[in-house]
Amino acid sequence: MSELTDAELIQRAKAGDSNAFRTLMDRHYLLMYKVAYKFCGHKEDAQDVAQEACIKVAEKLHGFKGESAFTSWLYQIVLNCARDLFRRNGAERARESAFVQDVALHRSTHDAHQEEHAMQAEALQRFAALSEDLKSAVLLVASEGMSHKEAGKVLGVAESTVSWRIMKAKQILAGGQP
Amino acid sequence: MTQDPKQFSDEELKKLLSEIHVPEPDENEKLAALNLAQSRFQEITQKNKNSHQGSAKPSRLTDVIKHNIQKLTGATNMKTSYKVAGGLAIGALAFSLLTTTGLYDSIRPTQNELVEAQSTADQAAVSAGLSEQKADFSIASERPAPPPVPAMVVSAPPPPPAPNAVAKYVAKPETRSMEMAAGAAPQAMMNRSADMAVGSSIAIAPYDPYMQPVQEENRDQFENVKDNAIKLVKEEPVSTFSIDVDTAAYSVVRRSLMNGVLPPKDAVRIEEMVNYFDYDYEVPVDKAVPFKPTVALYQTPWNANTQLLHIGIKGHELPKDAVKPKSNLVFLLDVSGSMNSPDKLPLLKNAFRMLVDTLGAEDTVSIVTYAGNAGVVLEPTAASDKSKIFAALESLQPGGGTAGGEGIRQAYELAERSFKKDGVNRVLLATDGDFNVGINDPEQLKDFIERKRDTGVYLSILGFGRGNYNDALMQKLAQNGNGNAAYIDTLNEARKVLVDEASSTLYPIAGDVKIQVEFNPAAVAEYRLIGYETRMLNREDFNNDKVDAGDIGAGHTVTALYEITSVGSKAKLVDDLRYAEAAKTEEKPAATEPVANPDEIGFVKLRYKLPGESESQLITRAVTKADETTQLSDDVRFAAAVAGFGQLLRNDTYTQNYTFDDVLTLAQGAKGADEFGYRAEFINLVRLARTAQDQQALQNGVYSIPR
Repeated sequence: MSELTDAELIQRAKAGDSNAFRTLMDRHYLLMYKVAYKFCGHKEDAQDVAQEACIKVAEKLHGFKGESAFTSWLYQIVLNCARDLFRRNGAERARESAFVQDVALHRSTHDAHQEEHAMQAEALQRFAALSEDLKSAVLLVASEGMSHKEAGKVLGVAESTVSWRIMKAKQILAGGQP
Repeated sequence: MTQDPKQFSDEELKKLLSEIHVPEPDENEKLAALNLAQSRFQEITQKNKNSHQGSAKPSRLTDVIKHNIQKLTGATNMKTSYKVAGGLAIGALAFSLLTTTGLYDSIRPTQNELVEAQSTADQAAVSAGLSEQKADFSIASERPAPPPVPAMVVSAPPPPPAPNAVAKYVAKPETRSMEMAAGAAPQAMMNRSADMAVGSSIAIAPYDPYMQPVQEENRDQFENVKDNAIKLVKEEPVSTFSIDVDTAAYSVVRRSLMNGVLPPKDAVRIEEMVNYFDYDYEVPVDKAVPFKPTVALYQTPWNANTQLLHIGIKGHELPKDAVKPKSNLVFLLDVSGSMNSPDKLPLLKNAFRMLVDTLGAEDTVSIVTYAGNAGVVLEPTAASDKSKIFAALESLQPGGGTAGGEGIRQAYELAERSFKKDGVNRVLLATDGDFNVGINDPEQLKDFIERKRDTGVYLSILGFGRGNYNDALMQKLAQNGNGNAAYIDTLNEARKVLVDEASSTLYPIAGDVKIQVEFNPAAVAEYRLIGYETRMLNREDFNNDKVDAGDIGAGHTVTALYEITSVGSKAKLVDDLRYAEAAKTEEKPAATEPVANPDEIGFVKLRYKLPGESESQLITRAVTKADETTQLSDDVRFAAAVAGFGQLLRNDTYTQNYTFDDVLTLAQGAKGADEFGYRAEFINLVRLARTAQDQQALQNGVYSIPR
């Protein structure tokens, strides 16, 4: 089954083949988890988000029309779940994002680049603290390599809005005032 | 908009994000996600199919099994909605703290500012686009009603794997993993059941040893409690007990259910479950009287032929603007090796940090630890010196055996040393209950605490962790030390006990509260007190002020429920005696009983002592036919639902055909305002209990065949 394409698996799943569905989810779990991690900054939260997203896909797949790329659709679902979780948990957790600490740890072992790492840690901290909207846009464009137009489709906003958000995020990350 | 020219380039942005090191997800988490999603997918597919065929009823045996499995996957929805409830609860709590008490003003300003600063246009654009996919959490109720499950033996189940199960979603990363317990454990059992039942045909996941519930030895100790028996009014017209404001049992039950198993019978103390919730009973106008009884008489939810006599009391709240009594708190913290687990010492530290945050400048805090050698970590320190207190808390490291006895001695000594005459003096003992060094004779320890009671120092016990939890000892100590006991399994629970309900946990308004009810044999044939098994007193103890009983704090509510069977009801369980003058009495009860008012069902008496006084006061209240009602408040119905739930969990014999579904219906209709989401959480627990019961049925090979 693993040699089938996404489209073929989706077709089978829609016909009621739950193993095809499982194969599909198995294939994309890591992608979903990674996006979630970058959004949440916590392994545990990311796993939760990935799980909720998987369940959400199970519920929505029958309605997936194939008008957009399947992965774009997945991004949309993952980001929605992540934002839901973010809102539920409140901002408290975001402040203590794990990857910021990772970088801090990393830094102490590579003293040669101390300066650079300090800057990076600061920037990552700012990234972790970005608003949901800015963060989503940055993730899709800078991390997932989408065009502003594609990202706009996933986020349900105009291309220009994405461009504006990316610009805004770039300023904040460089230490400008939000 | 800012004029700052500094800005990341595209490359820098890409590089930055590529710097984020994403740790590998846990294989088990992935499996759980795939399993849950696949089950959900099957459920959806089935539902679609059914809606085409117009029938939701499974027919053949394989279908029945599949149907049961689908039912089990309800865990998916439940888990999700629990999170929501939990999230809401925390949100609500945080909000109320911020707004009403202003105690938390030091918390998370930066994030708030960030949110404020967000471009509003930006926000609008997105909310239009992104909010179309709303979570559907109502699936559970859409599923076809589960087929009736025949009565089965609900024996104490083995403990689930749940390594360090503590609810997550509670702010700190280390306090996570109840989620795994809640999600993965039932799932694991489900897989096993599925494999067992239908082999590989619908095998949901490959066999995975990690997903099996581990048959770990359960060393939690609960006192074996026998249910209060039915009493004949003719033989024993008077019932006497001490109030109990503890809530530990509810948390223990919750923890077990979150792990997907029914709790051990002895862990279920019904009165503690009922009293976990806040009920809006009337308080007396006269501030000198701490409370007055609220009485209602209504048809028992689980038996149409009996009635529940509902007695509720609520202590005066501390006025919001009132100056709180000064507190002298001694934290007695167990830092023994057995506390080395995320749901113990780290949770404990966080819990106490929250408590310290609520204290005023004139309060003092001291910290005593015990482990190997007991020691004073922090001499009495003004609560305004938060950094010193936090630093002391932070320095605690687990290790060594538990010299609990010596620790308690030192804690009381400190409490007496910084005694506040007009304030509250309290030792807060936090432990997993393992006193294995020092005075390890529970009786000796009990004696010590009993003697210390007269010094005016109160004792609160906060239980942590599982696997080693000595519930029986904790209860004994709290009961003998003018104290209360709570079980802290999550930071949310810590908040409830130490912050939200701090006034009732910390500020006593009446001591030695006893309740005595005398039933009128002319009206009532049989009665049974639901719960309070460990709190029963002798009839003569009621008027004996030397006999200790439970204390009530500001705003505390206490509820007691009697199930009563009226004279002549067909629900009577005990036959009349053939050779006694039973027949005669029953024909002319009024003639033989010196009852002034034949309309009276019974007479409720309450005794209490005001703080610092040694002589008790009396409050009385007659229960008459006029108290009979069918117009029940949400509070009354909810309390009855909790009592019903507790009895089902204890597998009591009195509940007849009552099921978890009945509890669910009753509780759902009685949720009320539910400001903190506690009742919503209860409703989820009932669902979890239903699922756990079904799973046991599947595992035991008992299939429920729908008619």
